[in-house]
Amino acid sequence: MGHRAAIVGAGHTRFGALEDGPRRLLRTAIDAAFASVERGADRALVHEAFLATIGFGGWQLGNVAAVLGEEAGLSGVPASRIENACASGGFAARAGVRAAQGEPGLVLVAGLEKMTDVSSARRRYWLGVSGDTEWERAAGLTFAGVYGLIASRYVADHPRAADALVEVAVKNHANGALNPNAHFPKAVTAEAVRAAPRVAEPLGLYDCCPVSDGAVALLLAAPEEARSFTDSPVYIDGVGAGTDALAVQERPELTRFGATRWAVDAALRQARVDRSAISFLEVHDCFTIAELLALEDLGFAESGEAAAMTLDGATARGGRLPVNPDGGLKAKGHPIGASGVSQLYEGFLQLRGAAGRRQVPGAERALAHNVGGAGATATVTVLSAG
Amino acid sequence: MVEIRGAAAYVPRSTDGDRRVGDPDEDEFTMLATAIERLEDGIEPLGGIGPVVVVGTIAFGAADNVARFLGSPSPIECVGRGPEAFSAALEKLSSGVSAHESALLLAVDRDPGTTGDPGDRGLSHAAIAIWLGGGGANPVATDAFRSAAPSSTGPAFAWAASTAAARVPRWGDWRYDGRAGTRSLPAPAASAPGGATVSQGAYVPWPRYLEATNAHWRLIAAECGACGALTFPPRGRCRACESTDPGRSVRLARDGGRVIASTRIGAGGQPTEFDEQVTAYGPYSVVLVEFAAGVRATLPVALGSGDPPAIGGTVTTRLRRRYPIDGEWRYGRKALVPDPPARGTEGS
Repeated sequence: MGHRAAIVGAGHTRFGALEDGPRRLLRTAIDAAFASVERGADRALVHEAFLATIGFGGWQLGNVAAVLGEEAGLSGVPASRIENACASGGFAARAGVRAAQGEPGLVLVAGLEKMTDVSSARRRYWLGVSGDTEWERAAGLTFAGVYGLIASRYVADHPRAADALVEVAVKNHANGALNPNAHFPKAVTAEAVRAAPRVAEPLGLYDCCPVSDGAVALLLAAPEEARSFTDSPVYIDGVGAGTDALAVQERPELTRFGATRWAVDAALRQARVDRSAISFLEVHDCFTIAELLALEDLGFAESGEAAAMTLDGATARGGRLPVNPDGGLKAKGHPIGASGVSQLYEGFLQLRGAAGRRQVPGAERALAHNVGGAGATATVTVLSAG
Repeated sequence: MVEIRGAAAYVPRSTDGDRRVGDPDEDEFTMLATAIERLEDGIEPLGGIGPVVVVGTIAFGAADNVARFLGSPSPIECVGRGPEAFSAALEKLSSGVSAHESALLLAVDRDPGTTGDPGDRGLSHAAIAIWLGGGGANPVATDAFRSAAPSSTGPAFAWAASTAAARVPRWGDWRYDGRAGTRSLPAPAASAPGGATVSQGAYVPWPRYLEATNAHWRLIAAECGACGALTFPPRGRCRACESTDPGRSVRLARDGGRVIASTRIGAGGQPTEFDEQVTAYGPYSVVLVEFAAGVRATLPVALGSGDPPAIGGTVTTRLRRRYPIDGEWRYGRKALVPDPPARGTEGS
């Protein structure tokens, strides 16, 4: 099996409504990533950098990759901003893996969003610019509405789905309660989930991820160089990506994300492993319905079976296939550009056995799944302990 | 001399006391569009239209929208309101339409006190569309109009023309109480909030909006010239076979859409352009409607329509106001619970 790149260091800010602005968040995550490299990492070794962000902080629309260089102490290093909405992080990591291959030194991949600085009207703008504007948003839908449509169809087709949506929220909050970086580090009851105000029926407040600030940074190296930085690198063995029609109304099926299916096939093919080798999943649960779709699109559940799998406890932390042990976007938070990178951070901790109270016992291989918008873009990354 | 080749009326079905009034997302343009569509149902396509005259006081810009809706190459003439104006317009078209031409006489009546700016929330009450042709075997003169016109047209117009010009509530005057689930008309003390001066959501630039009005207003899909599959909205490329053969334009069945997904947007779940509507009317529904296999449109449910049918149910669609942006109303199809069986002669 060939490793494509190695994660040799990683840093993560807390997720939530934070005082720090985007520059300080970036610096905090990047400094932590460098500090985490056991044998030390000279910043001069970085030869390329990628920043995943959609709105930066709501005011610096263009050219923000330059800020990444400034805050990382890397001025002069080529840096690019990668933007694919909520999948920006996954796509930035994919670019980082490609840059790391066959070149000595380090690649910096950072994900950032600062969402709570702006008014709620502008925040809804930033949350909405990545869906189809002309046909879906102009019909009165934000992402919650688009996922509400999808959920209405899934619930109509699968009788246990309504209960499973509640269980996804309960499970991910239980996991998030063990994650000190989580935006909502607390458990919720099924009753509270059911009683919450409806945002876009059938989805209620607890079916929706929060609006969060946060930043995450990874340091990648070519696999053959990894052990010069650390004794316990985590390897990236496959990174698949895919796209689909921007508007959900133009896709053949409402409850299948073709981009995810394309991405997972490519990732598993590159990694040359099959699904039975995966210890746990990090999936893109921006809304509870998205976790059920992910289990099916990723091939871990047959069509319509994700509800039963969830209700049977298979996806709980102690289950057969733990899903989102860090709390997921749902409880950990969803700073848009940072989320895909944060999933890989969780893989880095878990596969080194460093996830503390939320450690998945014996985790050897992880699969991370990052979605942009309502399935228009997606990445899937396969990680191993090497 | 001209003959009447067809006529249709549209009267909103909502009521305010014993008066019929438009829903808040209706205006003279959407009402005329609905009357035109009903006329076309009998005689489509309504091609090769000559002069078009609108009787009634209509808002700035509405005549342009009517011209776009009709695909009319020439500007539309607007004359005053009332029976005299109607008679004069009919007289003029009678003498001006040659044997080979046809003309369209449109009339709409609405609250005259709110004509003007795009923020205008005036309600409308009735619209009719009459298709006139030169010569023919069935000539009519002005005085004979009422007896020669199809039975639904005369009373509808009489009703429309006699409608009192009373002040009706404006959209922004209403307040929705989320806790009680009711809406009310508070005393007009507080001035309306300023609102967003720059779009914070559903922003589509004006030229791109106009480019797609056939699809947004008329539900025009593209039928592939190579494989015959329908693509909506038209993209210049067949979704089924990727052919760029332009094929032809096909209008999706306006009344035959099936609901395949449905959501109800609660407070805070709406794009900001819909904020004012939510403040006035509370939660609204959006449905994904399938017109043919794989041919779908995401449509808001019209205000005043009531709850949409469950998944699997049927909806009809109409042109309605959607939201204001850059000082203009944006229009699009909305879904409605199908009309109950028609009563009397007013249409419905």
